[in-house]
Amino acid sequence: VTGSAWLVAVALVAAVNPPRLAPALPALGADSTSIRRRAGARPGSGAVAVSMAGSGLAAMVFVALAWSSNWLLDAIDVSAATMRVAAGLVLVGAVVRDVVRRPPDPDPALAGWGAAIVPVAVPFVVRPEIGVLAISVGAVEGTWVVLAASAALVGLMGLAASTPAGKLPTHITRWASWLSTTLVAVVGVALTVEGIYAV
Amino acid sequence: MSRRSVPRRVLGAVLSWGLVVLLVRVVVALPEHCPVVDRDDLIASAFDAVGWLERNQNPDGTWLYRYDAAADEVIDDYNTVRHAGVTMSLYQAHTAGIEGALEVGDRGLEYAVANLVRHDDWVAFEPRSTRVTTGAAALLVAGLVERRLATGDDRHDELMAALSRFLLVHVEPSGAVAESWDRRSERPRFGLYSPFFTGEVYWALASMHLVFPGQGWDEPAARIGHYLATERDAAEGYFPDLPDHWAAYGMWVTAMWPDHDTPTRPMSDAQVAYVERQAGLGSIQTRWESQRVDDVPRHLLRGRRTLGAGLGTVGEQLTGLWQVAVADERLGHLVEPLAERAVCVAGMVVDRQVTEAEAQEHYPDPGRARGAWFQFDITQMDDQQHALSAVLLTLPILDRSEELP
Repeated sequence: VTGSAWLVAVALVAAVNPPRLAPALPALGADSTSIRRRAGARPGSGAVAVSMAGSGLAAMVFVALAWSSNWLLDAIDVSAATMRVAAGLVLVGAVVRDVVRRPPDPDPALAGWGAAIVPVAVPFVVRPEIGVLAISVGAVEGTWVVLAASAALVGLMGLAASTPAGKLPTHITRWASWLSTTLVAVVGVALTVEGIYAV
Repeated sequence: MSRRSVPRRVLGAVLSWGLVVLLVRVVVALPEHCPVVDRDDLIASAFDAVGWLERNQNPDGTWLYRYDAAADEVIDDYNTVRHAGVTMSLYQAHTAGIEGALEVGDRGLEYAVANLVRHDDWVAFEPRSTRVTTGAAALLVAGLVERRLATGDDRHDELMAALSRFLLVHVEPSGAVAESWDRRSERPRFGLYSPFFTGEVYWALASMHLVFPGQGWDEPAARIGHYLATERDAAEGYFPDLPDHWAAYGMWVTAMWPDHDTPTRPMSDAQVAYVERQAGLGSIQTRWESQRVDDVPRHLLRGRRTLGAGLGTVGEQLTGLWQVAVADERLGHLVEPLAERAVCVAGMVVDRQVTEAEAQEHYPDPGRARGAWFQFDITQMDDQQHALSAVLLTLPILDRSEELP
């Protein structure tokens, strides 16, 4: 498997699809005075902190999966090429799911900083298709690609949360979300084909 | 915010993870079984395969073609191209040092020599049919080249040249190769192609240039090689591309041509790209086959295990491509993965061969079972041919890996 580091890094971020999550993020952490105190007085700053914290936690999971990918694949007797096929197919399946299901709600969520865990990390970001992709990318392109993509993801999640609810025209987030979904579909197919024909 | 439903949300996430992991593991990422083999295993396997061909050779030099072990019945049929292929594999075995292979191969050669078709300045090999295939002549040439290189015996040089002249008659300007000569009309069947014969003719003519440089065999060989790499799959309607172990043999020999060097490399960039594509095809077949076990539910997902011949051809393809990758620096990145896949195939081949103990215990006629590869209780002589070649051609890979620090 030869791989394309930048493409899979973009796909990893796109698979999380921050624009799709954007409407659910601004409400998070608003009930906590400690978050508001720590994050500052600006409107929405609590949501940004919670979103970045949650996606940071998720990033740690992805990097851990990528770092252990070779050991993991050896343990289950699966080649990197086969795992690439699996990653591609799972991404395509996730695209189908995202097309038929509406975007996730902020509720139910843990209170305060707990919202970084539920719902930001779980179930918004730590999703199985991204976990499978992280393993594949870790085995082929390397852990650093997952690390770089995760860093970008944390930033984009903060950006998505920084937009006050209702202020950003809906069609912009919707188009951005569709663009991400389309990119993931294309990359999913490409990864599947790449895995099939890999030496 | 509703705290009471948070656990349900987490549970939903856990269940979705569980479902995806289960589907990935059960449907896509099945364990790949590559039995570990060493040089001794391969030699022993080759020795047993040659033993089968020795025990099951008829007095006229032909071999038992197909045997149904369940019925303990020899199925009456024969195939001229496969006769030439078995002869060729036996000469490969002789090259690898398998005792007795040369004599068994020579008896097969005697049958071929006794059944030559003569026309103009060429000869071909066909005992009965009006369809005189290029495949049979090509594999006979390839086998004779192998024999000559291993023994230095030049007594068949004129036969090799005459067979090769028959092949030349069938090479079209594009590099396509007509699959046969029609004895009735006394013409090549231009426009009719075989998925296998084109690569076989390529290999034969490329091999002739290796042994007899300067006699002009390289130009038609190069033309066929270019056609295989650039046009064949589209022109002859193969999608996806045809995995072609014979083309891999041909490219291997082409990469070894003595009179070509940088910048007039024998392998064009198009052929290098073709080798890369072929390597991918061989590799997916290896991964797929290594996931096959005959238990439910695996065989529902991956099908039954392939024939000995099927697995053998994958091994021949991968080992041939590995030789190309070793010879051509542009393909250096394929050396290691191709070696890994080829050794995996060899492991499966050895693992699936009927051992002496299995033959005694499970088969009504142990002499027809030992050293053979069966599917649905049936073995055919080309199962032994391709599996034998795959095993033999993996030896250089193991030897090279032992040489590396």
